[in-house]
Amino acid sequence: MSWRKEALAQPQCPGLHPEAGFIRVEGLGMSFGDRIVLDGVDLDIHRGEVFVIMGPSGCGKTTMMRHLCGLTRPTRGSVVIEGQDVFSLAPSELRTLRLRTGLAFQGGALLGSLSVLENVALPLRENTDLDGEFVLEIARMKLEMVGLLHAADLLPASLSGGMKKRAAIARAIALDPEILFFDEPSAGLDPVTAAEVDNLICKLNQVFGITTIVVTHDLPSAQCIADRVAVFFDGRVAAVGEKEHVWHHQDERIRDFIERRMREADERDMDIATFMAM
Amino acid sequence: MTGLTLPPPGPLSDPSTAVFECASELDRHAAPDTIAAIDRLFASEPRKLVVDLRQVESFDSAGIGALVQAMRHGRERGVEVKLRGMSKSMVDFFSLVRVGSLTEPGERRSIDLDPVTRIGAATLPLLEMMADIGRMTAGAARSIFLDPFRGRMLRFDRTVRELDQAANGALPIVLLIAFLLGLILAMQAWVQLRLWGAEIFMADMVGVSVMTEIGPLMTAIVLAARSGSSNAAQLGSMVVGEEIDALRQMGVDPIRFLVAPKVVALGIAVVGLGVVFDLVAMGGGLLFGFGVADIEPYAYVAQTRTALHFADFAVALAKSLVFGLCIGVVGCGLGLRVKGGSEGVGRATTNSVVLSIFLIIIIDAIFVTGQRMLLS
Ligand SMILES: Nc1ncnc2c1ncn2[C@@H]1O[C@H](COP(=O)(O)OP(=O)(O)OP(=O)(O)O)[C@@H](O)[C@H]1O
Ligand SMILES: [Mg+2]
Repeated sequence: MSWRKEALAQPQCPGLHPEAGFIRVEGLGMSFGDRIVLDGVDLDIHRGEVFVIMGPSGCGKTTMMRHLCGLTRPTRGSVVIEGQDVFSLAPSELRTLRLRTGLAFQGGALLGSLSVLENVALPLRENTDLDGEFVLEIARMKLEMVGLLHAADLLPASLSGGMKKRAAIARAIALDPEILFFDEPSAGLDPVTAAEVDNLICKLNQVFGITTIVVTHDLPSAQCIADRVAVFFDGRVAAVGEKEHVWHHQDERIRDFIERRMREADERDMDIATFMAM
Repeated sequence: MTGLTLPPPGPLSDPSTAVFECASELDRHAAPDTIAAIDRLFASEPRKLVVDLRQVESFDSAGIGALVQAMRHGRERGVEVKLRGMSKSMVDFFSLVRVGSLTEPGERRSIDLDPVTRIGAATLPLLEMMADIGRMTAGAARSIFLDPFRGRMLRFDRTVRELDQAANGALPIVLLIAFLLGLILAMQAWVQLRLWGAEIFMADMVGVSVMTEIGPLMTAIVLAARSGSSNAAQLGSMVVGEEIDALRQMGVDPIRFLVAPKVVALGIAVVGLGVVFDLVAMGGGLLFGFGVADIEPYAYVAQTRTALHFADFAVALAKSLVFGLCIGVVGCGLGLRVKGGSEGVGRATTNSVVLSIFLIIIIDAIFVTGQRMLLS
């Protein structure tokens, strides 16, 4: 299996109609001890779309993404990618599936002992039979895509948070995946770089038809890149659909979230009143 | 900002109501006294406690914390605690927190478990750890012995690097320990043997004890402390930093990529350094014999050669190899199952040294028993 073949096997579908049911999540539940993090999540992600997952901090977005990649086992429910149930695959099948996906972790998760360039080259070295020099050439190209070529020889420890994040994106797209996962790609980036990352995500999606799942808090960024949006609250999907549909959702909590309204101020004012002596 | 009207201060006539008047300063310094004073009021078991805050001129978070704690204690004892005469700024401060949820009594779990459950709770993690390490050992064995036949060779470059770190790094300390232990053993032997004028047999004592036991054991212990622990710490922090997950996600098996080279390198390192240890320790013995006990080096070497048997040497080598593999597997295994941040990494590091040394002694006992039983 060579890299070239895989690249050609990519569906070239910029103008193609999105295909429903590409990734199907059914009744996904997960808890750490007593703490329920995901509580019966159902999602349907179409082929070739940019699907944005939003929600307040700690509501289980990262956990959701780890399940989509098969990195964490759920307590119940299933994730089905193109008809394959991720959690009942044999290890070798799971590996094959993973080679078609790329994941940019929230904290980067770069290997500390390898330089940035070697980090990006690693998936190519380990999974293709390309020549060592050529691998570096491709890795440099990916780094240039995220504007990080100048830092190629640095170790991850000497990168800033935003640089780590971009290096992780470069590594995630190293194998030209069909499915890309981004965990908060623009958090911690300055507005210009964040816009560049958004642009990169849209370009990859349009040019290669990569199905893209993005977790983000960043409303303008979601506005710009999303085809469809899901909003999570407390481990459940509170709203899902075309972004216009979600932007104009009826639910009070979702409106508050989208319009960045503070909810709890009034509630807290009332709270102390109950403790005051009359 | 708050539409609240501050309640007017008024006299309290109810006798079951206690009143606590706060002084003008409700800050970090006054907080402990405030808490103690309110707790004393609780002791008289009032139905209601009113904290009068009219006098308060300045306050800080610790002072407010004292009030929150008083409210929590009150709630736990079923006393209704009310605040009176709060200034506007104090109300504003309170609007940043939800007192209701802060003073919620936490649920107490009973810690009195019956003995069977306690034994279960103590042994289950141990069993899980052994299962984890066992699974990892199987994975490492697969990638060391089976994968080469499937055209996936062990990562040579990584193995060499690990070997360099383990063996070269430990060489100075191993040389030093070996030399000093050789001298010490020779001295101890000499003190006993010269009573019978049998000094030359110190060559036997040093040679046999070093080659069969002390060499392999000391080398293994040094490497467990140096490399085993460092492997546990390294893999542990990679788990914490999601690097292991990232490898899996990229289709790279962390066992094959990280663990197998480390285990092989440690096996080689313990065997190699063990042989070096033997030679240097015997050299130390020889030096002592020549310098203090007047034994000719030639005679010492000849005597050593009659004392040592090839079978013992072979067993010592085999033992060293198993020690090394064991150190590698334990360090990596504990590192990979780290949970809970930097504290977990620290625990894995310590445990890896303790467990490695324990297992080394057990393996040694098995080898010695096996060898003696075969010979008899
Ligand atoms: N390893 C773990 N052990 C225990 N609890 C965990 C673990 N990982 C996550 N959690 C809990 O699961 C919940 C969801 O975590 P998750 O990381 O998915 O949140 P998130 O939506 O990605 O938040 P953020 O936007 O801040 O990244 C959190 O409340 C967290 O406390
Ligand atoms: Mg997250």
